[in-house]
Amino acid sequence: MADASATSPGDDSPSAAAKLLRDIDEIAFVEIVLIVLLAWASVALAKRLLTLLAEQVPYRFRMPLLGAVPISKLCFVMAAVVAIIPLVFEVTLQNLLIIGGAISVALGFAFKDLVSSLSAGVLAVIEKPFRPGDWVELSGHYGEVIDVGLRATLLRTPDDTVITVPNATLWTDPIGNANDGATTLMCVVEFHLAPPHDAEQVRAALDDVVRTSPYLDYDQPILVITEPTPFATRYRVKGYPFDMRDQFVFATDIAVRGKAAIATAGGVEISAPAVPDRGSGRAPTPSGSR
Amino acid sequence: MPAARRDDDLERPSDLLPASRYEPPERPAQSSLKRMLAYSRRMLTDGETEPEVAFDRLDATGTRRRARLAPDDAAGPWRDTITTALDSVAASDDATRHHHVILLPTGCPDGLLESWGERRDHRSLVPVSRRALLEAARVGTPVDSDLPPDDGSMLVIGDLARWCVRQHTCLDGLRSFLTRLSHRRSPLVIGCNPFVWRWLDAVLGAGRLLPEPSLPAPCDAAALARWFAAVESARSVRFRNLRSGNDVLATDDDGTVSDDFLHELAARSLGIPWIAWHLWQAAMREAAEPDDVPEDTETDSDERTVWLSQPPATALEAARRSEARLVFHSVLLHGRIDRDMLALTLPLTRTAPMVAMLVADGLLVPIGDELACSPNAYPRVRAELQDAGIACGPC
Repeated sequence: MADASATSPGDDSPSAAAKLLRDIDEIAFVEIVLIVLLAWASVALAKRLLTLLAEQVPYRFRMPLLGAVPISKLCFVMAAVVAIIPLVFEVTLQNLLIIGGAISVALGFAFKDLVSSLSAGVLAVIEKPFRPGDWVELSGHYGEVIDVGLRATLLRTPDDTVITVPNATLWTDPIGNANDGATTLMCVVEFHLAPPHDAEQVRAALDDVVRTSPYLDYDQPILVITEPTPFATRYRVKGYPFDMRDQFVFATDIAVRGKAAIATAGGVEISAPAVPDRGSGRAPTPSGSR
Repeated sequence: MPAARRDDDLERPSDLLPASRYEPPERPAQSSLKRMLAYSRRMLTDGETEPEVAFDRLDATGTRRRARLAPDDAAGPWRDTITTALDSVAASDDATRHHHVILLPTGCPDGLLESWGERRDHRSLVPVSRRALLEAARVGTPVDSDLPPDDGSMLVIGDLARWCVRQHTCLDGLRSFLTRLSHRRSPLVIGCNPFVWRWLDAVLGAGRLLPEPSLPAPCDAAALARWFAAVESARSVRFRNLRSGNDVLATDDDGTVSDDFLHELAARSLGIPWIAWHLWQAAMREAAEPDDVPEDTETDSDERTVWLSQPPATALEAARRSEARLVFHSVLLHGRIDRDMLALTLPLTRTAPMVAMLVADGLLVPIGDELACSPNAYPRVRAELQDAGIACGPC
């Protein structure tokens, strides 16, 4: 006679339905530990291998390889979860409904934020609002995405600080992605000049400054936008470096040589708005001008 | 601004290819697989691998002997092709064929175009020094006032890079120079390296002012075999592949070069004969004593055997790679450039240590007061720049 307490997977008999968890001696702990270890090792190996490859291969393959890291992590974790569930739970339809209901109530109250982060993490991997290697602004922090985890995303800022941003913020905060998977991004350098100057000459000089930058990506557009403001003429110089990791030195190169070009073109940079001269009735003098 | 010059508007000498259709020879498949395995091994072991051949048993052939075992003219097959093409240009009455830009990659023998012009009694434009260009830019005077009159005589500009300085103050002068050249009705031949052409086209629109550059077809293994065979017969030597022991110049019944060495050399040199010429010499090894010959490659021939095998490439230190790339790019863009001028074109605060390191590693070579990219290192340097995303041109 068969043991009434013994069940097999898919068995929908009343005795099987009553039993949610397997007996302690039926649970294959060793197998579970092995699955966890295997998943952990696979995630670590995939991350290390793909990151290493991304730094060694030609630059145009870097972003796709980095983008594959969170996808591979998600796949290994999901595979481990799917493998462990039948080892711990009696997998029947009624049991799944019971589990689902219980989890919903518990998570709804106790682990709301964690679940929110986890689900946002899964969505981030699928929808790709950003990927490893992208330069993004998240919750007011700008940096390079170095890891897209299920719970949080790691950013490395230009000051070499690693910021951990919970994925739950993705539901409410806007995300700014400077390159969106591309190998370059636009850099903008601003100059503010006192109004009396030859704008055409300054604009041409700044354009040439960008064209002679050693970091310039030739295949992207170059723009110099001139905008009068109440206290100065603002020039916004826009260009793309061939390697977006050089964005700061590219901007520095433009800023340094741009200053010299402006001075040669007869422009004067200002650093503060003009202070009106209340007493004499004369026109305001911009601070910092000659 | 003149309308864009389309490639099919101009008739091109039949011996030359448009730059956009130049494709370097490909590596043999087996060689590519071995390279990928060596590359993977290098990545996983993080650095040095042992040389693939037993260099310790052979001596590098001395410099003078290497020069005797290579063809006299480094330009080889391309010199005749360019000469024939330019002769047809000079002889033509067709005004649409009057302007030609010839791409001459790094390592081109000095005066390739000027010597052709001199033999045919054509004028060559003497380059202005870069210091003069900078000074003229500073004071706002043009430097193209020495262009000869537009009287219908052929004008040869051997190396357009000599008029280029990557400084924002010099761009106006360069624009003016290119515009005046484009407006000349007289025949004009301009030599230019791929890096400077790519830069001029991107930042100054040179492709709209001058025709698309041309260059001879790439030298494949068969062309190299014909070229080097003359040395073999003249010097009573036999060139053999150290890895396989085979005669590198031997061909199959259908004329295909049977050994991989020349196929590899053609691919590695990007089809450029003077690069192949330098790599050929660097590959030479000779045995000081008969017993030093690797056992599995011994032959019974009485001829003096010269063994060929590409030496391991110099590795770029990873930490300095980004700075080195900037230096290489500037040197290649200017063709040759002195150290002070190089420092002006770079955003680095101190260039001297990096330049000294690259010279010591043989990646840059001094030529008089100037520096140029070593022809032996050029393929590797170009690949490094291309992998980093820097525009390089077709070869």
